[in-house]
Amino acid sequence: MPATYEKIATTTLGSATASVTFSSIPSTYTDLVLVAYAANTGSDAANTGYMQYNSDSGNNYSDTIVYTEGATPTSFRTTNSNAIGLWTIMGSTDSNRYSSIVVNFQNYSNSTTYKTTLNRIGTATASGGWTNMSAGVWRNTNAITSILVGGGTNWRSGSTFTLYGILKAA
Amino acid sequence: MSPILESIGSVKGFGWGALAAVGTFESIQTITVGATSAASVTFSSIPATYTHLQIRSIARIDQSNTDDNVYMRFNADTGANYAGHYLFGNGSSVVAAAAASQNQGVACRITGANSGASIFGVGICDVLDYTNTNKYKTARVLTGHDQNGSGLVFLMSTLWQNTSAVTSITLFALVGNMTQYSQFALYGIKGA
Repeated sequence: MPATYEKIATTTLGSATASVTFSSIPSTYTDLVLVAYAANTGSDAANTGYMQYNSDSGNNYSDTIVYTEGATPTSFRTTNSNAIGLWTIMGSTDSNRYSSIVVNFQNYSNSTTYKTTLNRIGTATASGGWTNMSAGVWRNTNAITSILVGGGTNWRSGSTFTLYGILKAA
Repeated sequence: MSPILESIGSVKGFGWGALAAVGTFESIQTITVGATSAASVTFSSIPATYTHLQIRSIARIDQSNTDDNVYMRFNADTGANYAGHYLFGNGSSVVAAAAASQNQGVACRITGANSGASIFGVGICDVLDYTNTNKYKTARVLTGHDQNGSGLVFLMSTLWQNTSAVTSITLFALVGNMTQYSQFALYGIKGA
């Protein structure tokens, strides 16, 4: 059987950068997976990045989140947001530490369903850290053709972003 | 057109993403539910040539709920040989629970007929070491949905207390049907 997990594009930032955009995404896959090892320049240990699709900055996004920083886990949600949140991203408090980010986009190219992602992020500091999972929806049935991954502040130099595509059986 | 990767900020650059096969993740079968809906779908005659399996789901059920489970059984085993643990958040609280001696496991948590139009639940279910005949089989599930004011995100484990190799997986609704456009894709992950 043919391999079905393909790298579409990747980048490693050489300097602080506000956002990374994957554009002209082929519609030939069933799912997409974004894998990032990234941190931003926020002053807190845990900061927030975001994602927008197809240049839509309207209030058409929402998400449900569970996170913990080593104690009792907490859940919260956003509604009518202008982006999907990437929560508890490592900031500038430790230059050697980055967050692991995995975002799954299921059936991103159909024109029938709203687009839902499953997101997992882990961040470790010298004294603790955060782990979270979330489900986010873009209330739009259009195929996703571009993904903007914003750092909130800037993404730090050294942050890496890779987009993969998963095919289905021929 | 080839995909473009663009960075915007203090630097601006273009990178062209080469299509490179990662190589160990293969599609086995994809099932899409048609206009007549479906109470169940089955992946049968699963090859034993992989190390792990992954089921990637997007689905909705026709029952009057805002969310419901898609369940799974291995090798058509309907006995009380399944158990599970769950951690989920609903936007305001976090709940952990367990279930023993079940007749099925949970494959994903999806939306129902009372959910907003066009909102489907999604899930990723990993079945590890599925051909090993010395181990019970444990699946790990990340699943959920958001409905702009409601929603759930789950992390689950499902145990099948049987050492047989998994050769078939049935995904089903306990009540009702999975609706049109629901899709279940089975992948095999090779070892070294």
